[in-house]
Amino acid sequence: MKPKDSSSGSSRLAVLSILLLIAGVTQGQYNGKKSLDGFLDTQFWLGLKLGTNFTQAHPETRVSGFSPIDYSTDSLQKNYDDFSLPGAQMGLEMTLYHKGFSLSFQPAYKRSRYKYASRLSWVGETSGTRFETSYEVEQRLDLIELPLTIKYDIIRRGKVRPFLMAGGFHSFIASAQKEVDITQIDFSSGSALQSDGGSTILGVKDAFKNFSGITGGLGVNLDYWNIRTVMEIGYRRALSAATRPNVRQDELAALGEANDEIFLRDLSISLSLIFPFRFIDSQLKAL
Amino acid sequence: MNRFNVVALFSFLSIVACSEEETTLTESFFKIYDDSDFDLAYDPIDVVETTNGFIILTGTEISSSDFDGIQLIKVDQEGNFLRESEITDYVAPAGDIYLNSADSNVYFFAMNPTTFASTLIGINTNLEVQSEVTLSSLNYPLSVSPLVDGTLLLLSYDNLNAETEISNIGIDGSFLGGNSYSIGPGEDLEAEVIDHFLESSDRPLPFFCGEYSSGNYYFNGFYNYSFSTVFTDFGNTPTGVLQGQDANAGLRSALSLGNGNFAVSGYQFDDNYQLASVDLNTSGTTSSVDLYPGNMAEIKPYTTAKIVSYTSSSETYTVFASETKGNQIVLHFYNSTSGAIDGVQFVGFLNPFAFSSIKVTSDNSLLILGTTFVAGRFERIMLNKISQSEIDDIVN
Repeated sequence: MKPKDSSSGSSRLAVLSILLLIAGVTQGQYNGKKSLDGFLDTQFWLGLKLGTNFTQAHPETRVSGFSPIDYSTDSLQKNYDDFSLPGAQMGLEMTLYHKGFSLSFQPAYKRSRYKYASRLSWVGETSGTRFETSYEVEQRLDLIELPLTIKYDIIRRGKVRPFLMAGGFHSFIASAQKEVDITQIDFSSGSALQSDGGSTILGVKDAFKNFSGITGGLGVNLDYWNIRTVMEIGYRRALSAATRPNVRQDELAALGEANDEIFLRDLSISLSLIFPFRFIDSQLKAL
Repeated sequence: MNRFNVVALFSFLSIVACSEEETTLTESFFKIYDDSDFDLAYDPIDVVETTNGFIILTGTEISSSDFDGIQLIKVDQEGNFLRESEITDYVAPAGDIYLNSADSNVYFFAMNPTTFASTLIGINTNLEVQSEVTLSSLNYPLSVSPLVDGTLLLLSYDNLNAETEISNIGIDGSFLGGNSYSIGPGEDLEAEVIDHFLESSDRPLPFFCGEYSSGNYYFNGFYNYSFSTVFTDFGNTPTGVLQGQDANAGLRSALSLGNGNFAVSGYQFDDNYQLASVDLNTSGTTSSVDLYPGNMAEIKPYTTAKIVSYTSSSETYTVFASETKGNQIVLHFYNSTSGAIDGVQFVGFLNPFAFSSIKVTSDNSLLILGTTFVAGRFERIMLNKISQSEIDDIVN
């Protein structure tokens, strides 16, 4: 079948994609309907999974190492930049499929990143005696993530099988690093004189703790060639804080730097290449 | 994976998630009390635990006097700032600050800026002044030590007779006993005392006092031409003297361990040393130079120093707090049994830190009071509470 002419290239590409999708589904149904049922009704899949993620740090309780005497604590609040820094994850996918439902365990090593900024200022009695510092912080977390999800295949036959998934996860903190860039602005010369206040990178694993949460998402299984390719978009929402509540006396405390009580959320896009554990013989029966 | 395995896996994850112990915000905190005033600087004196938080006594620079003004800061049990109060009628606050459990008020000494008389000031936990008792015959309050019977030991300077005074004062301001001893003729030593009040020297003098047995006291101050540790039973002459060398050598702090045994931190010009256990001759004249065992090179010359006794979950320690040459606060934990240093803890990084006071709290934490220079230039009060579990980690 030939696609209709279209005035734009993108429209042609979209139509072609839809047709390929339909063709794939029908092809899969045609090829596998009878002979592969035994093979596909119950199957264990194992493979590699990798992808990228974008993290949001949600501050449930605000914390600062500074306790102001003559100004509001609100001015010490950090401004978080949500879903702005890409992270990455790589691990295994182990999926047990049975009649449209899959139980999937996907242990992964994951790096999450987020950033925030804060600002302080001091003012003197005479004009011009003013000084500001700003702190830009990038937080990097390396996690051992253990998600357990249930997937439901919306279309159970064919080579293209979209699915929905939901489940829970537990994350272990493997390491944590905080990088602080300090900028100082001195107005005493009559104009704003900006200077680099230095940069500090510090291991802060002790300031974090393991956490758990729920996850959901959608994706598609592509059964081309002799492997299954899984494309997946997931959302994770932590139900326990990733930070320890007390302000640690460490190298960053002098800056007033202290973790808020953070609940992590992230969007991830991943690709899995998985292989069936049960094979079929020349008679198209499962071994 | 059958149903049992799924349940087992989730159970495992739940157990892992709940198995971590962590200190709470009341057990451990690190707070810097910032003020947006570009020109403000603090000189914290001491901190005391109350029934619902902590009160910090601090000196501040004021325009109306060359002496430090008085500011009190109330923080909650998590170290968060609650309120402040300035006491404008008096200057030059002296520590220690004392919580009187009978009336739940906090007491400290300060000085009348005109007459130089010592005044005992009582405040409630809302920082409201409850009592002011002026001791007109006791000028220039230098140091205060709460005694076990709920009274106060006051070290002061008599500028009219050039004498160091040691007095036992009741919480109502009554004079219970004491005596005064000549610092020696001449004006040089008096100038050093006045410099101490005006903080014009970069070598602060370590005035302190205490009781080493019932009715027997010690103080560190000028006596007979030198800055010495003097032992007295309030008689007309001291029972013993540990002589310093002018103001260039002697003790910077001492803690009585009983029976004439002390923990002392001392200085010998720019050198510093710590002795976790030493028998001092309280009934004769000796010299501090004989105590000098060698220099602790990391400690800042003429550092502020304090010593407290601390009992962890398993051991008793004598904790020395002082400042390093790198402008950090350092705590040395000496095992009271073995005499060995079981742990060292540094407080403060990046910006300079200075030490003021150390206290043991009711929940067996250590409370460190000092200052730090925020952004390298603004001198602000720092309060660090180190929990018992964190101390166990330091000494193990």
